This record gives sequence, C-alpha cells and structure tokens, in this order.
Amino acid sequence: MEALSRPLVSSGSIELSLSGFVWKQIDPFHVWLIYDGVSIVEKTVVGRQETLRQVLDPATSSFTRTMFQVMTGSFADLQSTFLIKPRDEDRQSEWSYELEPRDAAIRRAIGRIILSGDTYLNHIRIEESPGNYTWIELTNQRPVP
Amino acid sequence: MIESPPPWWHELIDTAGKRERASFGLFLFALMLLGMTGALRSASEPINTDMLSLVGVEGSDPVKKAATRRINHYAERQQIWIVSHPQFERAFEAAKALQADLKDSILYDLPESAALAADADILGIYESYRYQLADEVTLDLVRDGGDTALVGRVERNLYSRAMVIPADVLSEDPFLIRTHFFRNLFRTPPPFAIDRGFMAASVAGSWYYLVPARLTRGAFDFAYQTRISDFSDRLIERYEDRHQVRVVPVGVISYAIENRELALREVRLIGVLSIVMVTLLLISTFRSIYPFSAVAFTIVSSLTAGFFACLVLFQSVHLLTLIGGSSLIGISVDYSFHLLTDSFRAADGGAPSRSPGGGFSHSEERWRVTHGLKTVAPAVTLGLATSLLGFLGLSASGFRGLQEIAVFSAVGLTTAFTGLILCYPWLLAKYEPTRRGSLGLRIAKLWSGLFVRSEPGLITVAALTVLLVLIAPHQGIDNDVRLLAARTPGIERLREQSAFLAGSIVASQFIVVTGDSVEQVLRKEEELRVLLSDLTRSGAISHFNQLSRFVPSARRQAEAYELNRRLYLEPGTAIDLLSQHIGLTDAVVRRGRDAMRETSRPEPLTLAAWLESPAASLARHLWLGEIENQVTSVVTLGGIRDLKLLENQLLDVSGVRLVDNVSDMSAVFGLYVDNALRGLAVAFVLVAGLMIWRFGFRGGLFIMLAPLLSGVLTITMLMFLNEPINLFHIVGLALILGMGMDYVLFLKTSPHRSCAMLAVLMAAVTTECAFGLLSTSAVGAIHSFGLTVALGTAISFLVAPLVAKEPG
Repeated sequence: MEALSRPLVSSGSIELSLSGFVWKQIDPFHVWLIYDGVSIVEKTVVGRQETLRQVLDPATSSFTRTMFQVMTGSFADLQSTFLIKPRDEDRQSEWSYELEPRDAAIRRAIGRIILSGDTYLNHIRIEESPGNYTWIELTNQRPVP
Repeated sequence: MIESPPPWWHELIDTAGKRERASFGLFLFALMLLGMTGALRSASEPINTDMLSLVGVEGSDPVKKAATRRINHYAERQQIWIVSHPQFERAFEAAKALQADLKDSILYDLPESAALAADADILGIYESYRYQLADEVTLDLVRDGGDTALVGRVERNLYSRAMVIPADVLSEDPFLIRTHFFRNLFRTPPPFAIDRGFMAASVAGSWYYLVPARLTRGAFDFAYQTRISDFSDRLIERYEDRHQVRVVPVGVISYAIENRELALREVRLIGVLSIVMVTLLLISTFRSIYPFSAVAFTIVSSLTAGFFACLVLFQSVHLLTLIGGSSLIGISVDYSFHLLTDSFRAADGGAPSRSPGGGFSHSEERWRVTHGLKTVAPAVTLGLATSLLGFLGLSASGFRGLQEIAVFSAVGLTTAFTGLILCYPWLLAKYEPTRRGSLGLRIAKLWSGLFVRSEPGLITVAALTVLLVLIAPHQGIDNDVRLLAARTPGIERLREQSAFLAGSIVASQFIVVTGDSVEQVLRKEEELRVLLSDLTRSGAISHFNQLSRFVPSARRQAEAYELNRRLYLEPGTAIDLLSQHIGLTDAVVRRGRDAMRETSRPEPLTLAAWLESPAASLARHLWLGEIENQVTSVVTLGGIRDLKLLENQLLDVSGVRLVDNVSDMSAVFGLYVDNALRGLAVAFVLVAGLMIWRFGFRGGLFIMLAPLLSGVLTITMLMFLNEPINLFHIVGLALILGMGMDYVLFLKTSPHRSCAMLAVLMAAVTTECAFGLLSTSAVGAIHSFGLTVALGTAISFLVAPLVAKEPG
C-alpha cells in the first residue's frame, strides 16, 4: 500500500472444495475465513480464545465470492462481473489473465485482478490502484481425498 | 295474550294510512336530511380501513401517546419493496431500476436510504467533525486496553480477509476510528448488510435487496390505496417479465389494501346472498311483488340510514361496521315479516280475530296495512325497545368499533320500524294477500302445534342447559387485539415477509427516551446503548438504532477529540507505535499530525445542524422533538425475542419508557370486555324492567327466560367449540337479547299464532343466513360475532315458543 513503507505479509493455507473454502491464516494472526458457498464466518484465535463472527458486509461477501470463483476457475461466473482478457507478457507462467470489473462501483475497490499459473493457479494480484495491491502466492497445491 | 295498541298508536297509524303519500314523502325527506348531514360531516375518507384506529390507548402517559402517534404516522407511510433473485448482481440491477421507477412515480417519495450511507454527499456534514467521531467500542477499547489495543485492532483489521479497507481510507484514517464509526452508524437487522446503497441479504439461495419508499399520502386513504394497488400490480408484472426478478411490496398500506379487499368481498358476499335468500323467501311465501318491494325498501333505507348516522356521529364508517352492519339485512326485515304474515290471518284456519278497535272482525274482511299495523304494533314497539336497549349496552363498552355497530344497527332498526308505519301503507296499497296459506304457513302451523304444552319442553331445555354448563370446557377470555386482524393467505404472506424484514420497518415496540435537553437525551441514549448492546449479544434482541449514533453527545464528541489529539500529537505514543507495527510512511504520519494541529478544539456537531443536513434522512424519524415539555427521541428495536427481559432491564432506567403497542392495546381490549359485560348486564336488567312493566312481575320474569336460556346456551356451545370468549361474542349476545325478545313478543302478543310463528320462522331463516355467512369471515372479530348470533338465533327460535306460551 502507498500508505505503508513495507508490505503486510501473512501466510497460511487454503482448503478448497467445490462448495467453498477455508482460508487459514496462521501468521501473523490466527484468522480463518470460512466460506460454504452462502455464508462467511471469520474465526479469530487469540491465545486459547476462539471468536466466531458471521460476516454480513456485502463488500466482503462480494470479494469472497470472487476469490472462490477465481480459485475454482469458474470463468463462466466471473464473466458476469469481469471482462476477462488473456495476458501474453507474463513469461514465467503458462497462462495469465487480466480481469477488469464491469461495474464502476466494484472498480473503485478492485481496479483489476491478474491471475497466472500453470497446472494450478499460482499467483493472484488484486489491484485497487497501481500502488495499492494484494499479491497472493499459492504454493504446494495438491488434491486431497 | 292479545294486545291492543294504545290510543295514540291508533291515531298515528290511521293518519299515516290516510295520508299515504305524505307519510312516505316525510320519511324520504327525513332520510335525505340525514344523508345530507352525514355527507357534510363526513371526513375526506368516509370509509375507514385502519383496524387499529378503533382501539384507543387510554390511560397511557401523554409522552407515550404522542410518541406512538408520531411513530405510527411515520410507519404508516413506510413501504419496502423486496427484490429477489438467485444472483446478487441481477437483484442489485433490478433494485436500482426499481428505485428509479419509484422515484419517477408521483405516488412515492424516495428517502435517502442507508444505502447512501456510503455516499460522501450524504455524510458530508461529518467531514468538519471528523476528529470528534468515535464509536463506543473504540472508546472502550482504548479505555480498557490503552493505545496498544487500538493499534492491535488496526493490524488485525488490515490482515483480516473479512474487512475490506481501501488504501485512501488508511491514509486519511490510520487508526480506522472513523471507519468503525461509519460502519456502526446504522444497524441493519441480520442477515442484512449494506451493499452499494441497499440493504441486502442472502437467504436460502436467493439474494434480497430492499428498496425503501415513502408514500405521499396516508395508508388508509381509500382512493390512494386503489392507485397504489394498481401501480404495484403493474410493476410486479413488469419486473417478473422483463427482469425475471421477484418484487414484493411490504408495509402498512399492503395490509390495509388486503383488509379492504377482504372486507369488500365479504360485504358483497353477505349482502348478495342475504338479499337472494330474502327475495326467495318473500316471493315463495307471499307470491306477490309488493311485499318484496316493501321489504327491499326497508333494507335499503335502514342500511342507508345506519351508514349516514355513523357519518354524522363519527365522520367515517369503519370496515368492521360495514361488515357487521351488512348483517342488518337479516334483522331489519323482522318487523316487516311480522306485519306481512299478519295478512295470512284469513288463511290461518279462518279464526275470528279481535279487531284492534275493539270487538271482533270477520277474518274474511280484506286485510289492510293499517289493520295489520295495529295488530303488530305492541310487539314491534316492544321489540324495537328491547333491541335498542341491547345496543345501548354495547355502546357502553367504550370501544369505537362497537359504538359504530351499535349506532348503525340502532338507527337501521329504528328506520325499519318507522318505515313500517309511514311507508308501508303506500307501498302495500295494492297488495292482495293470498287466501290460501303458503307452504311456509303450513310449516309454521305444524311447528306451532308442537308447543301446545310448553312445560315439559321448558323443563327439558332448562335441565339440558344446566347439564351442558356443568360439563362445558372452560375457555377463558381472549383480549388479544389481533382479533381485529384478518387471516387470509394474502395477509399471512405479508406477515411472513414482514417477519423476514424484522426491524427494517418500524415495529409496534420501541423505546422512548426523554430529557430536559438534547444533550441529556443523547447522553441517556449512550448509557442505554451499553444495556441494549448486552441484550443484543445475549440474543434478547437482534439489533437497535439510536439517534445518538448519528449525533454523539457533546461529551462523547469531546472525548473522541481528546483521543485523536492524544493519538496524533502526544510524543512517543500511538501514531509512532502504529507506524512501527504496520510501517506507516512518514508522509502519512506527518499529514495526520499536521491536520490535527490545524484543528483547534471545534464546536460539537449539534442536532440542529445535523437535522438540516442530508444525513438526517437516515434517521430523522428517531427524533420526536419536544413533547409535553420533554425533549424526546425514539430507539427502534428489532427481532425482540425476550420482551420480559427487556422490560425488566428498563425498569430502573430513568427517562426511558418501553412502548409495546400490542400489549397496551390488548390491555385496553380487556377494559372493553369488562365494560361490555357490564353494559350487557344493565341492558338485561332494563329489558326485564320493561317486560315486568308490560306483563306484570310473573309474566315479565317468565319472558326473560327466553334471552337468558338463549344466552347461556350460546356461550356454552361456544365453549364446546373451543372458542375463547372475546368482546365480539359479547356483542353477539347483545343482539341475541334483542332478537330473542322479538321472537317471544311476536308469539306472545299476536292473536294469530301461526302467522306470528311464520314471521318468527322467516326472521330466523334470514338471520341465520346473514350471520351464518358472517361466521365464515376471515376476520376473527367478525367470525366470533357471526357465530354467536347464528347459534343464538337457532336457540332463540327453539326456546321462544316454549316461553311465549305461558303455562297455566
């Protein structure tokens, strides 16, 4: 972020299924985002105390839904909200796409999303504006029974 | 017992008989005069569709009363359109389009909704006071955990996937104090949150977007209801066809329209079927158009007189009165039947009859209306008197609805009675009664013959009554004001939708906060917020909204300013700590400090200034101004699950009152029930007194057995039908008192027993038809009323012959 002199770095894991995901952030805080396709719950762990909070904020709902569509490759659903264009300039990946919001209101929060990967989705860059973005690097992806 | 009318009756009847046209003209003139007076006195809306306007909230304190009135006025004009679709974008687009359509319509004003809470123009006023805005959670956090706690919250918010923080917000508000203030400004009822200007929720696979609208006129304006109904139907169809979304309007006006349509359907049904029944009965019995015309005239004139009399006294007629009053068709014709069946005296076995002028007249003499009137005069006069006493008892209840029904029915019956004397000589001038008795007369003769000896029958009925009373299940009294509400699929659907909105529309339960000044009220609200927040966390309520969230007290604003000043300007504290933790750039830190330095201690945001701003549209309805020299605001509540707990918690909080309109109205209903019971008892005693005066002590008391047995048996039967007794059962009992007395008096005083029995039979059939139909009403009150009278009429019909034939 332009307001910050260094990036905010977090790490964790994502368990993804066809109906939803659990985004487990471990570092620097234990915060889980649980999405079941309809509702979103945030679970915070501070010491031994766990707090569950249902997230009703539509901006977050909208963002979470978008992330789910991105991670599951649901381009058909994404097309209703984003203009999707292939990108040739990313030479480190087999494929790369740029998603531009169709709605002006969404564009104020998300300028564009850039996806790239090979066998799996490896990188997600969510730009609010050129100096303000979120960069998600996905590693060690594997299917689990 | 054969009665002669008093001498003055002779004169009146003879005069009316000689001057038929003049008498008829006089009657019409009086009716016209009543009509004109009623029309002049009438309110702009002569038909009142507001069910709750019938129930006054008596004895409550003036602040509560005034607050309730203002909130009701606000709620009455509120309507919410629910737009739903499985895809949120489609629902959102449709909601935007609908908002534009409603804005273009002259039927609506569109408020700036909470939607626009995201819009900088709406919240522009807060910009000048940005360092004075902090919610209680932030202040408590700093108070309890210090600056470290506040910094920790910023970090968690930034790392959280559940909170989207735009980059420019972090630059302007690094501690996210204003961010949290605006996020907590307007509490939406779960599961709703605000999305691009609309309250939105995802429930059971569909997205629901709410578009609030305000009506330009009151919800109970009849003509406006029609326009809204037509407009809504067209809009719903268009959105389903073009946008494939479902749109549903919810609000007081939706209920009012459903109630109105139900009432009109029922009035039409009852009216049409009653008229058909009366017509068939008349034509088959008298085989002449004249009795039919005369009775039709009675029905029309009595309904008209009843309607306009209500307009004169009350300026409007309630739907409840129209439905109940339409049953007047069944009882206003009783006097006509008694007179018309007297014309069969020739066919009644050819028995000689005593002439009203003294001596006996041969039954072969042509029947004349004046002769008939002189014969039936005692019975119909006493019958009218007892009915009027019954209605007087009703009006003593204090319940506006019953008073209207009492006036409607009393004036209607009196008109029927007067019409009999003044109009029937002219209306029946060409009527030639048949000399051969109709099937009805033969049935009446047969039925009458069954009661040659009345003692065994009376003893049986009395014994049965006692037995049934002893074994009847006890049902208790039902004071629920929701009796006034109709139960139809349309209204049940509205209830489900309203429950779904749960707090998006102003409900009947809210808190009134009073104080000597605006500052005092705002501080009280802030103190109350702690208690209400606890209740929200425990689930006793789901959410609440307060004015002080939008306009913090001056004390709270000063506290917020001090906090910001300390965070930015005190050396080595929060801003530096925050910078260390998240890496704020020097530019951001410098900008924050400079801005704070340039801000001298400002004047607080005042309520007056806020009310002038666009932001006021978000919560103006929470401000009630000055009531009874008290500054007053309202705290709206949603999703109340534990009212008792809420009541108990508020008991010790001064300057705070919980308003529960439903409970208050039900309590008032209880008072009405007590008053109505007392009124009925007094009416019974007065009628007994009248009977004693007319028939002597023994005879009078014996006659009173009829309404007594009818009333007790009716209540007992209701208990067996699992009907808890309510106010409208008591109304029915008052009507049974009058009708039961009519039947007994017709039989007791008529020289032609079979003719009188035929009149009673016809009266009972028409009454059963009218009130039997009423008992099928979807409105609980009308159902109770109709069922009681239908049962009571049947019982009165069985009991009257037993009592009319006095033993020994």
